[in-house]
Amino acid sequence: MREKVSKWLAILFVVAIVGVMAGTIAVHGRNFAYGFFKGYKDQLPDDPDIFDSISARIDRLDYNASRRIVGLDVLRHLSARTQILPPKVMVNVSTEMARLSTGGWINVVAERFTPEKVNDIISFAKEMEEEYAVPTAVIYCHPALYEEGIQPGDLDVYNQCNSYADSLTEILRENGLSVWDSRDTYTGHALTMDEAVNKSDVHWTHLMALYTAYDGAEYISRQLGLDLDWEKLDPGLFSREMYRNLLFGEFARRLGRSLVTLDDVYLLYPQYETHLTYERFDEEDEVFREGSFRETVIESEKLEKEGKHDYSENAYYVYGSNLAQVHTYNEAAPDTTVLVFKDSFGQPISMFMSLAARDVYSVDMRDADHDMKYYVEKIRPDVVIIAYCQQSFRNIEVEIEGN
Amino acid sequence: MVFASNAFLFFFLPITLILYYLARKKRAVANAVLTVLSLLFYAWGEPRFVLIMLLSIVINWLCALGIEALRNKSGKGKLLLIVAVTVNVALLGVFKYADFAIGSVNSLLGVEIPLTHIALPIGISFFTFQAMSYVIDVYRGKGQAQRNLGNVCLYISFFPQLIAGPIVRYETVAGEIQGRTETREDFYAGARRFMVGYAKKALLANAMGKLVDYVFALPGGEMTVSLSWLGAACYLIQVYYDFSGYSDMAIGLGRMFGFHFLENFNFPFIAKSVTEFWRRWHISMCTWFRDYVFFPLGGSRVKSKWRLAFNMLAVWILTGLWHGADWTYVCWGLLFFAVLLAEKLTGLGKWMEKHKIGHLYAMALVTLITVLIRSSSISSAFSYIKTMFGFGGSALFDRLTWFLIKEYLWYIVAAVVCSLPLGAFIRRRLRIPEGVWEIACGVAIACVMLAAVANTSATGYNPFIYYNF
Repeated sequence: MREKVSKWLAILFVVAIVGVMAGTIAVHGRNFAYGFFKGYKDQLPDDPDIFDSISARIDRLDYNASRRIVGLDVLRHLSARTQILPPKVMVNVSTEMARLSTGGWINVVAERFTPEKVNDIISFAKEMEEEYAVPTAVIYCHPALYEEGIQPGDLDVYNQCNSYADSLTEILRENGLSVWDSRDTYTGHALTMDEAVNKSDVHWTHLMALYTAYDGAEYISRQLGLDLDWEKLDPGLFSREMYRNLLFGEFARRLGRSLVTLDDVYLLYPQYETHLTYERFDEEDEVFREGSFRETVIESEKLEKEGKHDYSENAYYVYGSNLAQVHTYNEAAPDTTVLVFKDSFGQPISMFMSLAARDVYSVDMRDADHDMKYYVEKIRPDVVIIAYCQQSFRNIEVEIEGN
Repeated sequence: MVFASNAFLFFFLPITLILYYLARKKRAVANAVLTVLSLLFYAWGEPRFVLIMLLSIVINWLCALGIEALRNKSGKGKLLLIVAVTVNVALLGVFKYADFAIGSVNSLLGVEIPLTHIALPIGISFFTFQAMSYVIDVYRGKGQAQRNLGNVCLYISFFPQLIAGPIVRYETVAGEIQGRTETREDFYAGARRFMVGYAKKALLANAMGKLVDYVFALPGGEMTVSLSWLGAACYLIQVYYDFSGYSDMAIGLGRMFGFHFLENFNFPFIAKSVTEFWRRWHISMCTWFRDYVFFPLGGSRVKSKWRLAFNMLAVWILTGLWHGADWTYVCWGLLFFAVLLAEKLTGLGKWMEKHKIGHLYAMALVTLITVLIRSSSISSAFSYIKTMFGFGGSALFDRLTWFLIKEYLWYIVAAVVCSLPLGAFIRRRLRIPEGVWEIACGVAIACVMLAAVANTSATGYNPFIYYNF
């Protein structure tokens, strides 16, 4: 009997792995071929040798194999389902997620925050102040859990996102940086978790980003004596368009619709008249738009439902091009130049800032070709704003040499 | 490339199976297919290192040919054997131990000799030991030297055991390289074994790894006695399922291609003494050191206890260094040496094996000593061990420990149950007919394999803990 069972197991196994391979080649073969024959060049170092070329091709194959196999979504949902057996409350989906008692899902930051993680940013800020007399301010974008006591079970002893945020902001302030903490925005405006945090996506809502940009701009303006027209960011001056059940974020897609509901998306843009230009200032793409805030900054196509799906995966990224290096020019705003180093949380903040300052440059160091100092030397801003969430303070480097 | 990955499971393995079974009727072609694909498998990590492995293969192939040719000329064969072993040890020395040695000299003498920063080729300890096994077995007449370089290349680089073992002795597979027979029964059993190993690695080892990473990253002030024991025990479980999972996958894959590797683990957690534990744990490495180091030094049949102690010390220092170029590994080896010597000289080991308390004794000691290889330094290891015994004012228990126990409850229970030989016992006690039992096992294996594949595809968390080995 054992032989018979082993025979059927082996047949199932071989059919499954050959089937997935054939299906993947049929569906994603072009991606694999592109990565192997062309896309790999993006990963080559300067002056590559034959081994670098082989290595880069292998990396691309590996990357595609881990992200583009047929049935991957089914496998991910199955994994999530098999992980949530009581009393377990966390699901591992590349990072850990936990079910909140309110019914949504939220990212759990398990990696411990240590002071060394921000030493480079503190040194950078001091150097910019001393060499170029450019002050650095921080807008800390809290990634989740604005409320205390909403974590299920004993999760609060594991997920210390709030206490790590306290340490992070304290160290930055102790070292002389002006820091605006989005948690103060949350309490100051009496926002609710539903208004602040997406359930299907790791990111905060655009509403929370706008309120934080408003408070952050006012704080930085007053602290550093800068001419920023922060009153233009008053959320009361913004129109709100609601797109119901639109966003299904990356983390939720790994869990499946049966576990996470779609998010509503608010599109926010000024009711007052605006006129600005928007251009990418990195060398790769030429994008130039001129018109109102809505016409230039907002990329409305990301609000459309995608393909066969009844949701958008990219609705969060509606404010400008994520990972791009962007310059906005607003003639009506005070003559102040702002350089924003931002991550995906800081992306909408940098775009809202275009209403408060004439020249706003936003740089994502994850896709930059130069280190932070280069951009300060090149742009000579009146202020540098670092708009990062907690993870980015840990992971994004000051000295990155580009990807 | 690691086995528990989409690239291996859904691309490398099916392509290798298809090509191999198309070429199966011509042994030379089939072996060539396996060799080329094995080199590709190794290149997946870092293509440059393939050259190092090929260099090692060519040198050992030439030395073995020379040893065989000079077998009857007194002394010259031995000289070539010494050359081969020296070259292999030198390779390990340069690529694995150079910076460790320089760093140690720098610390000891207060000098600043620059480090070489040479990258560590993955699995170098495994393939170098296999290469040494080849020349030594040829020298001892336990296998014939291969005229065909490709066959030596296949023996040393064969992908199932290349990066994580088991260490396959040349005498074990010498005949099968050229004369194996692939049977359906072997293929079926091999696939089944592979699935079991995959599930062990992806479901149990990785889950334990998450918990262990978290606990060992905690600052000392946040540790409690219970949490430190939980972390240490789970690390031992992680290493077991990671290592035995890989061994199962390697043995299974070998069978799918007609090779029969020896077992590497035999329920080590039922051991009642540390001596017994090492008879059941990483058997291929232990027997390698026994046959190629311990016995040549005289083994345990020596006149003085001091000589026995020296022989054991040599083996355990080498065992520690084999696992990693760091003083934590050396210290780990020395502690095991001390315990094993004490068990041998006092009879404690034999006494423990006759009493149930031996389980507790053996597992507690192994858990404690294993903390060393998870720690970043000897001082942090001993600081961790101090916490385990409540020194430094650590609390006994806290909410975090309770949370982690609840969160990983099912994994811990499954890991403990699956580490014990309970199958036959359960079947007998519940009087389950063989057919029903086998079908239930088959369904269970299919389900856990599916869950394991889902897990590796979804989480991306798949630590490779043999990097140092």
